[in-house]
Amino acid sequence: MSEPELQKVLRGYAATEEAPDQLADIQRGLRRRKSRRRWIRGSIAAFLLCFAFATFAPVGGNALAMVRKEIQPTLFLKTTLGEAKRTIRESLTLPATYRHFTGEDLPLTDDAQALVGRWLSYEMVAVAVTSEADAMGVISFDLRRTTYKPEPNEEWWTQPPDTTARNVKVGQADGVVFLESGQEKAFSIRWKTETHTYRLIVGRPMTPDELAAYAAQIQ
Amino acid sequence: MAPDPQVIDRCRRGDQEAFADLYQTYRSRAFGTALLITHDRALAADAVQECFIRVFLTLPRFRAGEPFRPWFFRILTNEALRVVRRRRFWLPLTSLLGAREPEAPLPTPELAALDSERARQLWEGVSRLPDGMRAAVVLRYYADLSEEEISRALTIAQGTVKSRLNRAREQLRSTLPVLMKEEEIHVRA
Repeated sequence: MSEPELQKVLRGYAATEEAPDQLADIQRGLRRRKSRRRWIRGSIAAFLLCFAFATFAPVGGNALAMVRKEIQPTLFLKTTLGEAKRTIRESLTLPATYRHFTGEDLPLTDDAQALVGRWLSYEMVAVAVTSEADAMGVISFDLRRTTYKPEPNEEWWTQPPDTTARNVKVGQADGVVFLESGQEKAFSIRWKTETHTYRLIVGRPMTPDELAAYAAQIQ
Repeated sequence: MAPDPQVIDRCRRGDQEAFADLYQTYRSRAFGTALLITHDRALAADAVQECFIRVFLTLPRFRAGEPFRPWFFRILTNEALRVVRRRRFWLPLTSLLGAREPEAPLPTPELAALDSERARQLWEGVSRLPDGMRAAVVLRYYADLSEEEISRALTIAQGTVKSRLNRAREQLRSTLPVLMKEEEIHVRA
């Protein structure tokens, strides 16, 4: 038996049957298959939609809420600074120390009290070092950062009464310090970058330039 | 027989005319291949139809620049072997219901040119080959695929293709005398 002989035999037997013209059947089959795929996809989408609605029902809602909490904490979750840094989606760089209300410079460690959360679609992080463990005592360091971006012509800060606003530069960003009348030092500074808006309150008053320089360490 | 890459490109974009062109290019060879693997006209037609539907559905995912023939024959061979396996599964039931065995093919000019008895024996030998081996033989000697293309089509190593073809040839060579002896015994009885 030679290869050409085998070839001839196979071709000979294949030629005993003429290939039928199945193009119309194939095109019909294709249309059917495509519509079946669409139907299956639609059914899956409908099922998922029903499932999503079902989980929002009072009984099933808890499960979804738990997952939501893990992903994006509700407003606001009391935690530590280290945990807050891990939870927020973007990095947060803080100065190594903070000015305690007694006047000491103390290290800002990861076990400092912090709040982290979201408001609507804006991510907010609050780091508060206070005399009380629940972050409600005398403030030494209180930072709020939000992804809320004010419009250029929007007045994005509220000026406290009996204060004078002084514009400063925090790095490249525009900031404002509120000085009480007759005072050269202030407790609070606000500034906005391209991505975030910040508010910082410190434990001991600083001059506007000192405050701006201190705030520039926060990113 | 390789299709124009532009036709493939048009098919990928869903051009119905290009589908028709591609079908006409491969129709005859695909049916012949399926027929030789399945030994049944209806099954071969089923396999070819399913193969083209799958080809047209999956063409958008076919990577440009890849050789088309091995990809096409892989789908065709898989379909043909699938219908063969399905037939084997249902065969006991169909035989109970009195289904007829497929009739022997009519002689063709190609076969007439050969020694008909020897051709029949050779064909029977091919039919008795295991599925994978028969698929390799059909792709090599009927569909004219190279060993590399067969290796892609059957998703096996090229060395395995070589050894399968060698073993198939050996088996066919050894089968021929046996068949002849059987024939002689039959005649004497």
